[in-house]
Amino acid sequence: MGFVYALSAMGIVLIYRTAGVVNFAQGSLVMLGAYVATSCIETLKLPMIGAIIAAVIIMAGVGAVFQRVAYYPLRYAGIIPVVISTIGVSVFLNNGVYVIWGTYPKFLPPIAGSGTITIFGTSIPLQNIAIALMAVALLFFQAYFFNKTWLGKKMQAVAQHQDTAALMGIKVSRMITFTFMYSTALAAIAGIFAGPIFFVSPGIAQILSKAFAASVVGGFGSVPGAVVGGIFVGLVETFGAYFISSAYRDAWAFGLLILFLLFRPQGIFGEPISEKV
Amino acid sequence: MAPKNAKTFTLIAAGVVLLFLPKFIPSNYQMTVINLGGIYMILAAGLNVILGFTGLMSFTQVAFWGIGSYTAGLLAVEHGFPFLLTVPAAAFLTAAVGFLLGLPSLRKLKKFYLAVTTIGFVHITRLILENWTSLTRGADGLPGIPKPAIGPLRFDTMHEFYYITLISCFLLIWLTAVIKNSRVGRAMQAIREDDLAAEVMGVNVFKYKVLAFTISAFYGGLGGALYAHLVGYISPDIFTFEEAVTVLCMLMIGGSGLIAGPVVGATLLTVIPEWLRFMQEYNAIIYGAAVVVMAVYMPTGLVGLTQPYWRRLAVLFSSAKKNGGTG
Amino acid sequence: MTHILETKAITKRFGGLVAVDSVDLQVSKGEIRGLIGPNGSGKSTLLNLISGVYPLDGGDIFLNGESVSKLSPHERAEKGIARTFQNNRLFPSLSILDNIMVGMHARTKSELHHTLFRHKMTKLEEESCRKKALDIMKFVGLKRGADYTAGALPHGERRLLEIARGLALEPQIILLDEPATGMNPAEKEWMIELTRNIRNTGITVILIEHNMRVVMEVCDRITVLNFGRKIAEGNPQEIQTNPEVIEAYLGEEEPEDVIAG
Repeated sequence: MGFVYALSAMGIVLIYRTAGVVNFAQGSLVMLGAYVATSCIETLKLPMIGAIIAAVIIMAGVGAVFQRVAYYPLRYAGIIPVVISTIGVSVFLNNGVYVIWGTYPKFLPPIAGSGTITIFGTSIPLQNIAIALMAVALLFFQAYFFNKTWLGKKMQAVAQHQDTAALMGIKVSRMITFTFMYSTALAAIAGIFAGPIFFVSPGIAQILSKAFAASVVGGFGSVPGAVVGGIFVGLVETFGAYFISSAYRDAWAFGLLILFLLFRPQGIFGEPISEKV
Repeated sequence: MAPKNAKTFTLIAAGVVLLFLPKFIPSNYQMTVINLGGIYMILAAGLNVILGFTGLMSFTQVAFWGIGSYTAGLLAVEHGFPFLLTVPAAAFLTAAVGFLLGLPSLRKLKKFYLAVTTIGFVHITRLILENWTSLTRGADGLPGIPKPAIGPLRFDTMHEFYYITLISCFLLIWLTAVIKNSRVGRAMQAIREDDLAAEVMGVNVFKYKVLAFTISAFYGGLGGALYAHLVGYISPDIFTFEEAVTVLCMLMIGGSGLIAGPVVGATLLTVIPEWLRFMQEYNAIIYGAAVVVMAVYMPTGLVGLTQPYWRRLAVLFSSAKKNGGTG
Repeated sequence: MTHILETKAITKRFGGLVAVDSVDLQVSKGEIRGLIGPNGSGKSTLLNLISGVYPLDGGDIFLNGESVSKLSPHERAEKGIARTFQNNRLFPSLSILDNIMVGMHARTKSELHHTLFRHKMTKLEEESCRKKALDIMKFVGLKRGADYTAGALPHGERRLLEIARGLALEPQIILLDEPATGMNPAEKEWMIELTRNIRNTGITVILIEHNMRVVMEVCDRITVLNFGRKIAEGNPQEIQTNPEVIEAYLGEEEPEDVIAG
């Protein structure tokens, strides 16, 4: 679960760093990713790995459209208009899926089958291990992508200093588009992970709140923070539910969020939170 | 002063229509919808104070609604408080909660953090309502909240309740107009436009942010109390994040920061879905699309369209400048 | 003689960069003090420290002999420090009148309960504010209708409105951050006259300005900053002939009309 939060939080943080806006549609994009993957398997009869690749590509395209519609016209308008337009998109998507996919939840098979493996006397579903492995692989890929490839470096440059990047001849708006595409591709993977846990339904979109909690806990604006925050929120939730009370399962995540906001608003990997004049 | 006369005439005509509206609407169901629309209008008006005037992104309206509903409901059911006590009690208690929540979360946090804090608060409120069963009766909800009675006057039917809704909406919307045109309202709008400049001009930014937050909580609590008495049964699953988004849509579509914004937004988003019942599943999709279109092309909403052109231009310009300033 | 504004060794660091380095400043009541220096010499940072936008990293600021270093920006405004911004920070979707009336915030008292219960004070206050605002508009030379939206004003008038908003505070001292930048010659002339008029009402002025002609013509004394340090101070003649100042500007582009941002 933590990894799903981490991936969603990462998408939010990447867009925030590059475009300076907060994407409230990320949860809905994760949901859409799960639906798209389901269709790839059910309708197109693709094998699991093919479905994952197809979903990632399709979602990257969705990201480009999303960027063009909900962010690009408002790129000079400050944070609140964009927040509102992304909320509009999320309302649109959360209800739009009913029209395309109907009101019944879909079933997305776990990527690693439904078996379990027993380690030290505890049985762990293979799916969880597969998620963890894929998440780790993705982190390595991401580190490589952002630090070693030209495209990744350019995207980093835009995230760190837009004006300077523009002076260096980097096409800022194109890099922002790529970041949106990358973030929605991450959303697709998060959706594929989340699908088997939740069933594929608009309910998935609710992980948005947890993803926010994760990104604040990790330190808003920090990519490693998003990952650590996501896993931390996932762990607190699981252990809180297991050892104390499962009735408040969701409350642990938000309680953690509130604690951080009150006592360490800059999060674990904090960036300074005061605004420069 | 012909335009002013025309405006007065329109207002009087609207007033007369509103006053006799129940006579033209026989159906109990439709009257319920109208009453609910009125409650949404109150919630959106509260959001208008915090988001429209002060420029702070808050989702708590729905949590305040829940707190207000439960306060009024529990006071009425468990302690037999009369309507005239439950409503102010709920409104003031909720305002106090808003004040206490505002104190830590409005001090020096970036705008976005407030949004996240309020999302967290919405979820936590719902979870508390669901799980503090000894107080709230948990997920089963709270039935049997009595219909309002003020002295000998009883408001048992939806048609009778309408007058409570009408008077509340009128007073509360009028109140936002009074606030907007006062010294305090100017300070709030200055904070929305440029909080640093406001601070430097001598406005205690923190104080007015907390005040705006408290006022929006008051509206939420009052709307909640009316809601509890209107429907007679409340449960925690009503007060979801999705409802917060609905209220936000109403304000944005109507016109954020404008007095008539919540009126138009809440009316449209209550009436249109009823007209379009045959295509129910598309309604929310249309909302969503409408909000995006509004945010992009009509930042001042539908009411904003009636404003002179240069005023809209100024708003567009100001939003363009905000980003340019950092470059 | 007491100074209306005095700074003692005030310092501000941004990371490793010392933007303002131990600057002492004494401004007498009723003077027009020029603040000049090459780009990035710390002029605007100094104003931000005086108005409280940035917290101090060291030193102390006194207004009429009383330390204001620990006060928040709005408290300093109440004490009588007004300012304008280099990059123009009006409240763009409010009217001219409302912009000026926000400036009067600290001088008025109507809280929400006064307004709601139709307190007599509120009505009187609103009326006198409106009248005062119209007077201030006339004083700074804003000829447009008071209901005109601030964000739709042309550049020069916006600068005037910002000054009007600052004057509405009834300040003891006003800090003007490059008010003449981007103005046409006629507007610059008016700016010079306006600065003098402001001083003549008894308000002390600190003026940052790139346009040397404006500075030399209007200022009583000039302080020169370079790399965050004060390198010279004196009347316009002294400054024009000061070798250190000439050196600081040497190699700089012609300082005349450097248009920022």
